[in-house]
Amino acid sequence: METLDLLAQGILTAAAPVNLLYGFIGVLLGTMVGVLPGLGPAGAIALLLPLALHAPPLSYLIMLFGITYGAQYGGSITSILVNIPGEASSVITCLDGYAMARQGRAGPALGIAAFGSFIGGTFALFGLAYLAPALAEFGLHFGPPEYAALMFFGLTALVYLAHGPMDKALIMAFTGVLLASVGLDPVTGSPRFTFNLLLLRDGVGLTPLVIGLFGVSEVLLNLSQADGGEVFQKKITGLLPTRSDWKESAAPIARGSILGFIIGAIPGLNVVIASFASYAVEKKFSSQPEKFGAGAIAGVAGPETANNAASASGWIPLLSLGLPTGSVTSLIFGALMIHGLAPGPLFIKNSPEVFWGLLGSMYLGNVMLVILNLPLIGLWIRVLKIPYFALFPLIILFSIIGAYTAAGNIGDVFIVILFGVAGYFMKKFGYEPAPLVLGFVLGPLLETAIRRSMIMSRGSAAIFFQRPIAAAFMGLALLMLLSPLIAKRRLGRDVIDKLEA
Amino acid sequence: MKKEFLAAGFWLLFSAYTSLEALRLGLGNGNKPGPGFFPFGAAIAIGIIALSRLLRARGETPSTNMAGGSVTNETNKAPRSKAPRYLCEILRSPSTLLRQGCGGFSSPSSSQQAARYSAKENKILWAVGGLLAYALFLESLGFLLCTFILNALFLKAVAGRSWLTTLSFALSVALAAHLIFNVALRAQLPSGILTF
Repeated sequence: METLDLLAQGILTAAAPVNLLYGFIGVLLGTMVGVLPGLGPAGAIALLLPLALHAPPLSYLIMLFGITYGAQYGGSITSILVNIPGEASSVITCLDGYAMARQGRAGPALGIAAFGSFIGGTFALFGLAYLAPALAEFGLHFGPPEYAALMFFGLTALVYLAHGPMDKALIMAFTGVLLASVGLDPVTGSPRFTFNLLLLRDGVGLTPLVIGLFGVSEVLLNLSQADGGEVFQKKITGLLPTRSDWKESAAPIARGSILGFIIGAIPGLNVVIASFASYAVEKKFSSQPEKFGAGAIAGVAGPETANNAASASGWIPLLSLGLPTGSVTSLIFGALMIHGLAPGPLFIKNSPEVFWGLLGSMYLGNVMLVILNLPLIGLWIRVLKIPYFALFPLIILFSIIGAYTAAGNIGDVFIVILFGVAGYFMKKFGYEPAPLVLGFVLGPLLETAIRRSMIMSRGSAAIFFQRPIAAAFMGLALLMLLSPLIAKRRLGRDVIDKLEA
Repeated sequence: MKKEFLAAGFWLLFSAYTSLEALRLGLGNGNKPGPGFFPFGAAIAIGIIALSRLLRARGETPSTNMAGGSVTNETNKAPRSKAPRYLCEILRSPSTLLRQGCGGFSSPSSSQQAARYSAKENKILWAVGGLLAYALFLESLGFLLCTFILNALFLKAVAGRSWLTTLSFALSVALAAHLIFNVALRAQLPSGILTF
């Protein structure tokens, strides 16, 4: 009951006019970036990081959270109407959502996606409310070796499950760690990798780094890609699903909520995997699996529910243990740090109004999205028709203004350009930026925890394997790192090669 | 594979430089790690992985698939499982799909595509050049003038729009941005030679 009371109080906090306004802006912006394929939620949050210093902490965080789940709603709109997923998590919705739209059932597809997302998000919210404080309580027993092992585990999990090869993700994570070491050494105060530049004495800022990596590089990449698909032209009617639609969707929504919640809460797994897993499960459970891909409403309801549930439960590692698990959570981690709200096991205890306020805002935000987005479908279709030539100069302009106004330093604009170009090449060569950002955010904390642990153990690395919690995290991390080698040895090189061929 | 080889070579050089710099900073000892201890570990790890990629890239045959911009050897491999092909392609590179749409799974390799590819690379050069010039002249010329020129460059050289569209768009964006950020929000953006 205490949890429900706290959650109700959180909803009341989130319902304060200023928080409601920021929440509304967040979900609106989120839906917009979800609808527009050129900019993801990470890019939008990166562009808004400079605002952190000028806005009230809770309201600002409510807005950033709103962007993340608003983007899930927006992503499904483009998947259904244009066959282009605005977000990676809505990729699978293209298969049946677009097929439904072509059959003249775009309305029910959009409707069930919105209702499923709301139900999944609400279910995960309750899970988050019960699980996060319990996990944080457990985290209170952590010392430097446990923290170091946990962060190592978090980094490894992201690397292990990153798109593309694991060794590329590892290079990215270590590069992030190296970039984080630019500036003054936290223990001795001596300058590292500063090239005698005053600009680098305080280190590379998170804001220009992420604006470059997620904002500018995305624009450059889009300029080198093919143009998008054709926007759905038919008039959309009947947004409310029929009784038979609900009958077909009820079980997929229930399964998607549970599956999405579980997958989202595991570090390294994400909303994309949740939506794919849900699709696979629904196809397996269906009595007519051949209908999947040809307009089965269950193929929309399940994945759309799962991705929103995973989006909400994905906050558990960050809010309870201070462990970011991807680029978006790393950015929110940075935003919390800017406001002096150190994420970790003490976060819920020290800042309960922020934690419960954020949870309350997630519920209100989901309500807003259902109420606003269904009637606003026409507006989003118009947004989809904005030509890219009019959008990309604005994204670039916001990137530059954001970087410059954060510290009034032109050097930060150069850093944005540098990482914009670097991010472009990274993506061209198949190196994902998410592990880099995680390495960058966790780098200083990991370094401090490792150095403290080494001092505690008088120079013995065995400390990470002698304490049970640290040993468990290290064991899991090493298992993930070594699993490709183990698989090769067990199956034999020939088998692996044949499978790959 | 040339691109993979080049990338691995770059990371190897990066690792060599950063590890030497970390050594110069001082590694300290187990009891008292120095400022270079942690960066050295990260740099060495990058070096080992880059070396292994370099050796593998040397032994592999060149690939021709340029679809989606993600030119990696991994993206060219056939699906390992019996899952439908689209699922494997989506799981491997959802970001590619985000830009190409769900109809764009197949790779249309042709000389036409190569020509389009080069034109698009030119757009990127214009965009990056414009950005660098913007950063160089922002404080001397000012936000309003620089924003106008940058947007004009983007629309004419990058997007290939008519002069009328270019100038009207660039002017309205520059003025709107000035009014919103400099006048309304007092964002302290440099005024440069135009002192208003």
